Amino acid sequence: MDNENFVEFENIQKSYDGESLIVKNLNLSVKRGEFLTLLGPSGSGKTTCLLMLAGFEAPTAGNIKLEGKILDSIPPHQRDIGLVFQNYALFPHMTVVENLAFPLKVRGMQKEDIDKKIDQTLDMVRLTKLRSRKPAQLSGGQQQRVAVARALIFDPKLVLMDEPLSALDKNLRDQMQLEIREIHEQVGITIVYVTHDQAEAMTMSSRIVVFDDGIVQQVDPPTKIYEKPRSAFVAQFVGENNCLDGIVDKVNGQTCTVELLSGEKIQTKNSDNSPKGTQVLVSLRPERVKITKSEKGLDGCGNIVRGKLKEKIFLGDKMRARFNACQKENFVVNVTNKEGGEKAIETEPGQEMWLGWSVDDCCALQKGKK
Amino acid sequence: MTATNTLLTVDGIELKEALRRNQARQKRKAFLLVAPLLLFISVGFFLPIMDMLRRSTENRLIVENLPLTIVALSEWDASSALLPGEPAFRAIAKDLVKAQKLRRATQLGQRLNYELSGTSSLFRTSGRKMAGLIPEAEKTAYKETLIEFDQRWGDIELWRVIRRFSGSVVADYYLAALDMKRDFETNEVEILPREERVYVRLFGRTVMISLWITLMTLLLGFPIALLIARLPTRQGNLLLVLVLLPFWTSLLVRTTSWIVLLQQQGVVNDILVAVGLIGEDARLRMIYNTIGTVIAMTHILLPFMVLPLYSVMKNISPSYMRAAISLGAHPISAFWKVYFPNTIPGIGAGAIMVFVLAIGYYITPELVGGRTGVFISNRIAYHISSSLNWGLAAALGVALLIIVITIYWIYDKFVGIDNIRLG
Repeated sequence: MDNENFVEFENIQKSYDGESLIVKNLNLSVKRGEFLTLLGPSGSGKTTCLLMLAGFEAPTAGNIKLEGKILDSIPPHQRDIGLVFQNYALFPHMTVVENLAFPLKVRGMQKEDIDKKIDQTLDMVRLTKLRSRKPAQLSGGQQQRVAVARALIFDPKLVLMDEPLSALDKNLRDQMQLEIREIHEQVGITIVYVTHDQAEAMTMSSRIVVFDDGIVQQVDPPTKIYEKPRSAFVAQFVGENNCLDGIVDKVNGQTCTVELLSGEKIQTKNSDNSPKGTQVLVSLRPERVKITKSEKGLDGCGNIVRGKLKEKIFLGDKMRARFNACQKENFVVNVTNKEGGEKAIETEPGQEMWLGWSVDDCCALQKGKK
Repeated sequence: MTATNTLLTVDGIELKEALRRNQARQKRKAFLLVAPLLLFISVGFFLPIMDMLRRSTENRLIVENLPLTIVALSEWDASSALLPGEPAFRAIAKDLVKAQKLRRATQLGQRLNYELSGTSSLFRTSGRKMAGLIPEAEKTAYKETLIEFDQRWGDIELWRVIRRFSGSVVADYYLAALDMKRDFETNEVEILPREERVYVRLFGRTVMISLWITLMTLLLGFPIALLIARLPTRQGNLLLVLVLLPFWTSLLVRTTSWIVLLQQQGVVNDILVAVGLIGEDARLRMIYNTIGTVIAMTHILLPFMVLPLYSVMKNISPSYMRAAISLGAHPISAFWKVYFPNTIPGIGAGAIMVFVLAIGYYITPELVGGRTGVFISNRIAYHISSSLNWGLAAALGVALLIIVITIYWIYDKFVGIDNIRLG
């Protein structure tokens, strides 16, 4: 079996009203055993993709293949695809055990096999003690574990998760992210995960698909998505970012000089190989910028600008500083809190500082490219 | 730690006491909000029910108007074949004269007529003439004079009835309500002969028809509620308004329009004949019988089933069905095993509401029920407004109340009243 193309979306289009497309020409393949996350703002078409894969929505055009077979004609209950919902969708009139037994019973499994399988699964999600409770008697995190267990217990070909953690509070969400990742590693099953939370996508995925407006912007592992965003949208959506407007002034091989709106000239990687005169956004991560009181501390930085410190925000692990620089009111710089207290930035707001970063830490992306 | 450790507030007041004071104000407020309704319910609902319970066993009319007779008869052995002696006849003559002055003699006769027919006219005529008979009776004997005046005074059954009803509390209305009577000679309770039994069968029919109506509203209401719950809000609301539309039309209009539709020369029969499904001579009887009552009342009570079902279904997340299907259940099996069980609270609420409303319904069965489609409530109304036997009406009412409470209890026992949900 072809492990690279376990699930294939081929030229998928989806429209609900015949007037606008929710998904515009999606081509995507999912590898066997990988944890693939569909990341995008709400309304970007990611949940629709999931529903089409599960069989609850039919593609308006194109094919979805699972293990090389076109799924079109297979009704959802025969697809063998586990589904975890945002609201868990545990059956409220059944206990934990009955919920878990449901997919096994409809498959006509023997009672002893069902019991064995349930015991194993409960053990895996550490819910053995709560086996005879009803969902309403469980906490959100416990319900979510049951929902994950129920989607896994019948050994489906793949499991789809639609923002399964969005109803949990932050601490529990972080913990559940790790648990789901652990289960994925243990079981080795293919998971397609939908979220709008980029930190969650980073934590869990082998690969991330960034969606916007029904179009796939980038499909890459988390590090590449963060370090080498392929479009201005990805750069802005994943992680914090300073985006500086400008026009390409001169191209020098892999890099180029961009003249910002403020008139400053910046050396940057030319990611899109834009020719001279192109309107670009220069993307710069806040943690890559060094700040000093005098220009001397910035040796080795390819780009140096002056900015006025407007505000300091202490965030515990880091200090966030907002500058007025390059004609941007909101030029953000993050400084890691290594020395404790206010030492990360001792300058008071209102004073001028020097900001510097290396050429490799920023990139010029074409504006409006999809 | 041995000493009891009472928690104190900062001011040094006991915490429980402080909390109680705090809540007392709120409780007073809550009570004031409820008070008007409480007053209304106790005057308009609770007291009438108490009154009904009292009337179903009371015997005041006889006890108050025949005091001398009751005393005179207390010595008499009702099971003997002998008429009571002279004192009893003298007592009833005196009692009747007094009752006549108070204009109660006829009423008294009507009351005794429930137990022994013929007594009504006997008391009416005797009441009028009694004052004139007394001087002669004083000279000869009351017994002979009375029997001479009307030989029905010599009927031992009459005396047994009076003797039987000399207590202030009687259970005989309940016996009548259950198609039983007391043999006044032996004082034993016996069931009426088959052709005289009315009420038990009527109770049975009322319950059966109500169950049919409940079932029909469920069968018709469930799919509609399902549809409304699944439609987008706009279309769903429109349909819901259509379901509620009958509520805004007068009950009488709705009921009589069913008469227009269903009678033998009515719209439905005309259409069936015109289409050729039935012959001119074989027009269906769909009204003035059980079928008519079931059809009209199903229509009238349908919203009471649809509304709780809808509000429960609206709250069942569509993701349950999706989850069940994704787990491998066929859509039909997913519906039965996952969706349907979650609608049971709505079914329970709707069924109880429709059933309880149906079992006490009056106006519709009265208009379209004919002879076979009337309910116990029609009989109760008859006894209240026509036969004026309020005691029997009250006993029938209490029996109906007991049936409803019993059904409620059974429902609670097997389904659980907590399982009812209106939304």
